[in-house]
Amino acid sequence: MENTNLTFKVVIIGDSGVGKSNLMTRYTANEFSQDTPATIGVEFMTKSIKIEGRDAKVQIWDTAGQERFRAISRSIYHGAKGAMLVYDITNQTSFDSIPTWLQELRVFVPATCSIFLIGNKCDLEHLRVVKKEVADRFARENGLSFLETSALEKTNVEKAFEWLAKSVYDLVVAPVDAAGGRRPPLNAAANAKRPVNLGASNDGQAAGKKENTGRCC
Amino acid sequence: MEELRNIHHSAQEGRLEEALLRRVLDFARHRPFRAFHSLRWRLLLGLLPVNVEAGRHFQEWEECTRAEIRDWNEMNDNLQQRLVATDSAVRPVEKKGLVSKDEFSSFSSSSSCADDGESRTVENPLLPGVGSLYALRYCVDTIRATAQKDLDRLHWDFPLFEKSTTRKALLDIIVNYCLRHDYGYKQGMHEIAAFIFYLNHTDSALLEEISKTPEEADKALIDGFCRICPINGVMAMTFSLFENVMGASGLRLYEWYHSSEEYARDSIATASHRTQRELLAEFDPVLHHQMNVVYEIEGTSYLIRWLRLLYLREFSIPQCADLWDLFLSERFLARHDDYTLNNSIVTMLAASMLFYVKQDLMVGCIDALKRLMKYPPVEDVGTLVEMTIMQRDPKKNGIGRYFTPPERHELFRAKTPPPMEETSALATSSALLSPIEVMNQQGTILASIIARLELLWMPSSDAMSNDAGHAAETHARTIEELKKVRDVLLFSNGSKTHYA
Repeated sequence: MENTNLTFKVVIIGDSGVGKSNLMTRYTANEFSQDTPATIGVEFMTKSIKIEGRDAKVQIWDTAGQERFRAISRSIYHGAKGAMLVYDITNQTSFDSIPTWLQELRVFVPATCSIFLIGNKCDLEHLRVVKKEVADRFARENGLSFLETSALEKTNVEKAFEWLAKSVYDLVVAPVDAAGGRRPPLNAAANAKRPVNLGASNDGQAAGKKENTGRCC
Repeated sequence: MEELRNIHHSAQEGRLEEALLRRVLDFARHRPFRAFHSLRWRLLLGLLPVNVEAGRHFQEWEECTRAEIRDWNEMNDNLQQRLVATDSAVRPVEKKGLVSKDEFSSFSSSSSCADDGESRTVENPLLPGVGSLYALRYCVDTIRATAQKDLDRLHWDFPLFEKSTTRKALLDIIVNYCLRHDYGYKQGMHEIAAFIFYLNHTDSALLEEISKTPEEADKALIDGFCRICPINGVMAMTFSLFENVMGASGLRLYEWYHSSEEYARDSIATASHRTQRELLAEFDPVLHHQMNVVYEIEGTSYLIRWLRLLYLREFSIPQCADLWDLFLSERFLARHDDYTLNNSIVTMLAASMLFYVKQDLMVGCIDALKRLMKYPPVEDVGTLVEMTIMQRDPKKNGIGRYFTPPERHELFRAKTPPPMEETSALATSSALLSPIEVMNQQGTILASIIARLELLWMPSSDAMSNDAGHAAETHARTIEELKKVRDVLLFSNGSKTHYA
C-alpha cells in the first residue's frame, strides 16, 4: 500500500472566461496563452507530483463554463476528489455565480471532496470589483479554502494546486492508510475535519504576507 | 473553375443531382480547398434548388440569392431599428423625470401627465412586458456579452478574422439567429458560424477575383455565379446556411446545443453514449470493451466537442470542409424522410475515428484520454470517410452508391511509420495486433478494392467519360494492391514486421 501510486481527479469549474483553462495549462505545462479558445465540453491534463514523499498523479479536468445542470455534468464530476471554484476578481457576475456552482458541485461529489475557492486574475488589481474580504468570508461560511491567483503572472497557481492535493491527501488517503488499508466508515469520513482556510489563519496570513510582499493579494 | 463548369453543364443538361453527389463524394481525385464548398452546401440543403428546369438554373438561383439577401437585410435592419428605438425611449424618461403609467405599475400619474401623448408610449423599464423593447434589449445584450467573449478568443490564423467588421458580422448573425428561434447562445455556435462565414467569404472573394480577368469563353459563366455568390451577400448567405445547418429543415445541429427541459436527457449525451457503446461495438468489440469496461471512459468527455463543433477542432479547415460535404450529402439523400442527427453519419464518423487510432487507445487509460482530447493529424480524411461509409452503407444502396474511395496508396501511406520519435512506440503497438485483426484490416482493404471495381464495372453515363481515361491506370493499381494483400495474408509472420 505504501508504494502504490496515487491518482487524484480534480475538476475546475466556474463561469466562462474566468481563466480556468489557463490555470490548468499554467500548472501542468507552465504555459499561458491569450489565445485560448472557449472550452467546448472538457479538457484533460495530468501532472506528476510528490506529496508526503510519495509519487502521485493529478488528473485535471477543465470544464466549459456554460454547462450547468446538465446530464453531462454527472460524468464530469464522477470520482473527483478535489474541485476548484474559479471566479474572476474583475467580474462581479462570475463571483455571484459561485453559490450556484457550489450547489451543483455538492449534488455530484461526495462530502469528502476538497473544494477551493479561487479568485483569478489578481494581476488586474486596478480593475478589481470583488473584494478579497467578501470572498474570504464566503469561503469561511461554506467551508472552502480560499486563494487569489494570477495565471498570467503565475501567482499562487502552484500553491493552489499543491494545497488542493495536500488537502485531498489528508482527507481521503491518509485516513485509509491509518486504518491499515481498510476504507473508513462513511459517516466517519463525512465527519472528518473540514479543510482549514489557510489564508485566514494568523500563520497563513503572516506567511502569505511575507511571501507576496510587493505583489498582488 | 472546373467545379463551376461541372455544376453549370450538368444543370444545363438537367442532371445536376447525380453529378453533384458524385463530385462531392469523390475522394479519389484531388480535392482542392477552393472547390466552392459554400455553393455545394446551399445546393445540398435546398437553399438553391437542385431539381431546376434544364437551362434555367442561373435565373432561379439568382432569384433565390436575392431573396436571401432581402430577407436578411429586412430582419437585421428591423432589429437595429428596434434597438435604436429602445435607446431613444430611455432618454425622454431620464430627461423629463417622468414615471409613466401602465397597467403593471402601481404608480398613478397626474391627469396632466396622462394626457401627454409621448408619456403613454413610454414603458415602465422596471416592468417590461413580453416582447417589449426593454426585454429585447436585455436579451440582445445577454447574447452579445457571451458571444462576444467567445468570438474575441476565436484565433483562426486567417486575415479575415482580424477585422472588427468580421466579428461584428458574426455577432449580428448569432444575435438574429437566437432571437428568431428563441434560443440562448451556446458556446460552440460561434465556431460553426465562423466556419460558414469563412467559406462563404472565400468563395465569393475568389469569384470576384476571377471575374476581373476572365477567359472570354468563361465570362458568362463567371458573371452568372458572381450573382449567385455576391461578395456583398456574404452575411445573408452565411445566416441562411447557418440557420439550416442548425435547424430542423437541415442538419438539426440545434438538438446537440439545446434541450427542451433543464434536466432532460441531453441529445448530445445520448449521442455520445450511443457512439462509444453501440457504434464502436459494431466496429471493434475489443476496443469497445477496452474503452467502456476496462477504462470506463465517459463518451461525453471528448464527444461533446467533436460532435457540437462537427470536428472543427479535430481536423484542418479544408478537411472539415470535405467532411461537411459528406454530412450534407447524407442529409440531402434523406430528403423528407425522418433524418436523425443522433443516428447520422456524423456519429458514425466518430466511431471510425476511434477505430483509426485503436493502437494508441489500447496503451492505457491516461494515454487514451490524452489522445481523445488531442486527436492526431490525419493525412487524408478520405480514409476515415471510406471506413465510415462502408460501415454505414455496406451494400451501397444509399450514399455508398455515389462514393468514390481514395486511391489505395494513400491508405498504405497512412500506415507507414510516423516520424522517428514515434516509431518505437508504434512498433510496440503493431506487435500487439492479433492475426484476426490483421485479417480484418486486409479484409477492409479487399472490400474497398471490390467496391472500386464494381463502380468501374457499372459506371453511370456521366462517370463513363471521366473514368475511361483512367481505367487502365486503375486496373494496374488494383493489381498492385491485391498483390500486397496477398503477401500480408500468405506471410503472416512477416505482417508484424511489415507494419512496424
